[in-house]
Parts: sequence; C-alpha cells; structure tokens
Amino acid sequence: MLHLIKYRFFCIVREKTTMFWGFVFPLILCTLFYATFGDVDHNLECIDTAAVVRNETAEAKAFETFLSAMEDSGEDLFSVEWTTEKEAKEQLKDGKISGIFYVDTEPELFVAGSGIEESVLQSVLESYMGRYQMIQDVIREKPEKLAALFEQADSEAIYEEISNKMSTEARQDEYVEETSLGGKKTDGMIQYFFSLIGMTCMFGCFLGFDTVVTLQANISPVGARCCVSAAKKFRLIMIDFVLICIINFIETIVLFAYMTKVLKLDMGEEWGKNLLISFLGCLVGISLGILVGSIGKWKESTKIGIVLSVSLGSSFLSGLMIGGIKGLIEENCPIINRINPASLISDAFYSVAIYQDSDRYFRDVVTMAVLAAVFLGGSFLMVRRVRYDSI
Amino acid sequence: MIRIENLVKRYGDLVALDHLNLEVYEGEIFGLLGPNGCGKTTAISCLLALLKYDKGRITVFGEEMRPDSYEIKRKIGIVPQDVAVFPELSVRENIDYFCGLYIAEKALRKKYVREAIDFTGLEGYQKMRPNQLSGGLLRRLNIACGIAHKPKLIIMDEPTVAVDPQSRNHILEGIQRLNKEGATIIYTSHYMEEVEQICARISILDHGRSIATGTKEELKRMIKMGERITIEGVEITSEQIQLIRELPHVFQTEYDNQCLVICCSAAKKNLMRVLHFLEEEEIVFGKIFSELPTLNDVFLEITGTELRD
Repeated sequence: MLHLIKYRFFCIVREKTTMFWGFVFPLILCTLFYATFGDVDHNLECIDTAAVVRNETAEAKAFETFLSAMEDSGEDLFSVEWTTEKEAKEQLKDGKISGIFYVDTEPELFVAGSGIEESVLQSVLESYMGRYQMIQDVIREKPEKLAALFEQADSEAIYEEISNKMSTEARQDEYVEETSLGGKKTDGMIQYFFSLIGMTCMFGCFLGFDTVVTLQANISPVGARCCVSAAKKFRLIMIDFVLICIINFIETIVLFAYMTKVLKLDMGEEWGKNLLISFLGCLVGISLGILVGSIGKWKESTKIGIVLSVSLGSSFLSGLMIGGIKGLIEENCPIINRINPASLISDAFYSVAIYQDSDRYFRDVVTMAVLAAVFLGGSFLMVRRVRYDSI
Repeated sequence: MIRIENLVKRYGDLVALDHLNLEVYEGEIFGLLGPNGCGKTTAISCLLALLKYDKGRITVFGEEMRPDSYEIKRKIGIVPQDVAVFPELSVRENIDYFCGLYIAEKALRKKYVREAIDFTGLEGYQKMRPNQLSGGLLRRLNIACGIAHKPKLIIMDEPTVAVDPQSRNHILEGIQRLNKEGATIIYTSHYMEEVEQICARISILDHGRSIATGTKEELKRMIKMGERITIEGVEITSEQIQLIRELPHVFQTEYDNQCLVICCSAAKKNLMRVLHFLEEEEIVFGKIFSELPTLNDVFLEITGTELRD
C-alpha cells in the first residue's frame, strides 16, 4: 500500500503542468493582483453629485442626514449639491455631475452612464439601504443589539465601507453586500485574494479529474491495466484522493503564506478557521473533478471541457473576473451563491476575516462538506464495479 | 482454463462478437488471429470483465469472470495493445508499481521486479523514463509490467505492433520462455507468422466469429491447398498453362508478369511432376520453389479475403 502511495505521489508531483497551475500560477496571479491594485485606493477622485429632496418623511429625512454625514465626513469620497430636479438634470446632462440622489421615502439614484463613478454611487445607495434594512431587522428581531449597531454605524464606518466598495469597484471586484457587526475593517482588494484562494482550491478539480481519468479503462490504457489488476479500483482512487487532497491543501497553504508573510496582506487572524476553509475548499474542488471524471460514456475531451467550465465558471460566478457578479446573483438567484464552491470558499473567508459571522461561516463550511460528500458518493456509485460499453 | 461460450457483443448495429466460442487449455500458447477489427481485442476485454456483453458466458479458472473477481485477476497478467505505463515513473518504478498491485510483500516484489527486468532485457534502462525509450524497449517495459507478478495466465494483445525485428524476436522468444516456465498465454495478433511461430493452437477470427480453431497443421489440413509452387522468370503459353492444370493434384494456376503460381492439393511429388513437365516442354525459367500453405491461405480460402485486408 505504502509503495503505491509513494509512486502515485511521484506521478503527481512530477507532472510539471499540474504543478505549475497548482503552485506557480496562483502565486504569479497573486503577485500581479498585488502589483496592479496596490495603490488604487489613492487614485480615485471625489465624485460630484446632486441631491433633490422629494419628500419630508422620516425615511427621507434619514437619507438626507446620511448624505450630509457622508459629505461632511472629511473624506473626499463625493460632494453633494442640494438643488432642484431641473437643475440637477441639466448638470447631469452637461456631465458636471455623475448622478442625482432623490431624497424620498424610498431613496433613488439617477445616473446617465455606467462607469466606475456611477457604480460607486449605486453602492453608496445600496449600502445605505442595506444598513437601513439591517437596523429594521435588528429592531424587529434583536432589539438588545441596537446599541451595538449604532456604535458601529458612525460616519467613519460608513465611509470605510463605501471606500472599500469604491476601490473594489475600481478593480472590477464584486459587491460586498453585507456589513459586519464585528466592526472589522479591511482593504477592499482583499476580496480578490480570497477569490484567488477559492480558485486555487477549485484547481483541485483538475487533480481529481486526472486521477479518476487515469483509472478509467475506457479512457486510459493505464486505467485498463489497473482495472484488470487484483487491486480494488476504489482503493486506488482513495489513495490518489488522499494524496491530491494533501497536495492541493499544501498549494493553498503556500499561497496563503505568500499573501500573509511576503505581501503582508491582512487575511484575518483566525488561522484555524482559514485552514479548515482551505481544506474543505480543496476537498470540494477535488471531489467535483472526480465526479466529472467518473461520469460514464463521455470522451476525455468532453470531460476536460466540463471541468474547465465548472472550475472557471465557479470562479467567475464568485466574482474573480468581473466585479459585481456575486452581488448580482445574491439579488436575483441566491441559491447559486449557496452552492457555488468558489463563492462558498470566498464567502467563508470573508465571514471569518471581515464579517466575523460564525453562523455564516458555519453554514459555508457545512455546505462545502456536504457538497464534497455528495460529489464523492456520486463518483463512488459510478465507478464501482463498472463494466464499460466500449473501450 | 478459459471457456467462452456464445459470446455476443454489439456496438449499436455492429456485431463485434457473433456467438464466439473459444476454449483455452492450461499450459498452451493460444493464438487469436484475425485482421484488424475482427474482434480480438473486444473478446479479450470481455474476458477480462472490462466490457459489458450482450449474451454468452465466460469462465476463467472454472469461475465466472466478473469485475470484482479479484482472486481470478490475481492470477492474470495483461499486456495491452497500447503501452500502459506512467510517463512520470522510471522503468523500474513502473514495474514495481504494477507488480505492487498484486504483490504486497516487499522482498518478494523486489525479487519479482528484478526478474522481470532481467527477463525483458531492461537492465540498462532501469532509471530511464518511458519517453526516453525506443518503441521496442517501450514494448518490453509494457510486457515487464504485465508479467512481473508471475501470473498463471498471460494475455498479450498485439504486443509486437510497431516493433523493430530485433525487439520482436526478443519478445517472441520471451513469450516462449514464459510458456515453458508454466504460464498459459493468449496471444492476439494480425501477424500470421508470429502466431504460426509460437502458438500451439490458433483460432482464426473474422467478423466476430471463430471461423476455424486448431493446431496450425489442423488448420492447414482444413483447406484444399497442400502446396504452392512458384516459378519466376518464365515465358509460357496459355496452352502450356492449360496442360499444367491437367497435371494430377493441380487445381489452380495464376500467371502474371512472368511468374506462374501453381496450387496443388496435398500429395507427394507435386514439384517433381511440374519440373518434369517444364523439362519436357523445354520451358526456360529463372527460379522455382515450393511452399506449404500459410495461415493466410487458410484465411483466404475460408473467407475469400486476404488476412491483411
């Protein structure tokens, strides 16, 4: 048994392509992210806006106060000119302002374009609405936490959140749709690095896929040889599974260490939880690769296409490539975020490092564990005592 | 040792194995001969419980072969048509890995690996990776991985495809040695010379059916032709050819490009009679020789097509 493990370990680590994509590529990407986005916070200019009062209700007054507080915060995030709707629209048409806030029972934003500035203004409004809703929820469900909530909801915290969002948007990053009650501040680009760890975990798909394809008699001659041997196929797969879990986990640890020790990024202090997320992320990625590799009659090229689509699609939907995707999904089809492995990984990291939300963290890790179990169970049923239609 | 009864395997409308019946006896080298696509590899894959089949029964060592028949598999060694080794492992590591799928005991495995390396003549290449080996050496490695655990039954599926003559001889001699050491061997090939050279019994497959089974002598006795006489560099008239056809035991002649082929049924002095005729007619020729029928002739006569078609 040990010598089978030894030789399969050699096979995996001597495969240069796998090692490059697993170990080197995430480090390169991480370095590039760091080099590219390092100073973006300081490159953004103040955004000119107009505000039009439409209503005098308590809700409208609250939004008016919020805008005033944001403008007076001392941070040059955006400026607000209080004016009439007609003048505001003319200024918007002339390009003098980027958007108009309507102070109403239900606040609105009117923009003329879809650039970064408009996106940041949108996030300001959404942030306000989110906080407003949160306060409503706390009053309804946990009124005893209200005092703590107001302590957090000072203008500095709001600025921090919007500033994070601004820099995040500037990098085409995803929308951070929840606010922590833990009062944890973070650099907006951290989200990118969490997604990068998620991507590295999802690269485990390829390791899992290679493993199971190598042992498929209808795809690989080595698989045929192994299938007719005296060794149980499940045992061979389990050997590989354990090995690639360890290797993929080491890959994420190396990446994590590079981020925290070399790039000095603040990835949170709860290493135990972070390691568990990484491990479960690897487990989900690998088991997903094993599942796709196990699916019956498709050609290897078809399966490779599926693995690529699933791993990159998962990273895409988690917001690694285009900002706002995850938030968009959260608004329209949240179930995808609940089961998308890359989203779960990045969300779990965020729950630990930013939100400090144990319930959310627990939900994410349990979902990952369940997904891994389902994927592995499905694979087991498909490869167990299989006879092929053709070889 | 192996019995295949009424095996039917279809790929959609294509019938790959059509009520195939075979029996392999312990201690023999059994040849499965047939053109590409005749069902040799399919039959082997069914035998090894890799492929589903539509109908029939396969028993190996007296037991039905199933995917989880690990005790039967323990006694079988397979040398697949495609080289099945890990490119990331060295020659020795590959043999050790595949031997380890059968042999857990380290000392015994080490001995077996060394013997397999000696047997296949790979002593000087132990640390090389497969991509550093020539085609012939790669085939030898493929064999070493299949036989290292000393199986009682070895199945070799076209092990000499794309191999140089020197390596081919080495491989064929090795197979005969394995047989002498007690292994039963099933050898598939579309090279009739190889099968004829090493196999005690042969089954000729065509379109998924066994069209003839027996020793090579038995197979050759099944057909009309007993001797083929070829005369090269000969000028001969159609009247003289007609006279040759009328000689005893001659049943067919072909004349093309100064080469005359005379097919005779099995009888004594066929060549003498033809020589006597040539002398009487004062026919000048360059070369004359006589051949016994080959398995290709058997195949040709039974199916009407060349074995290598």
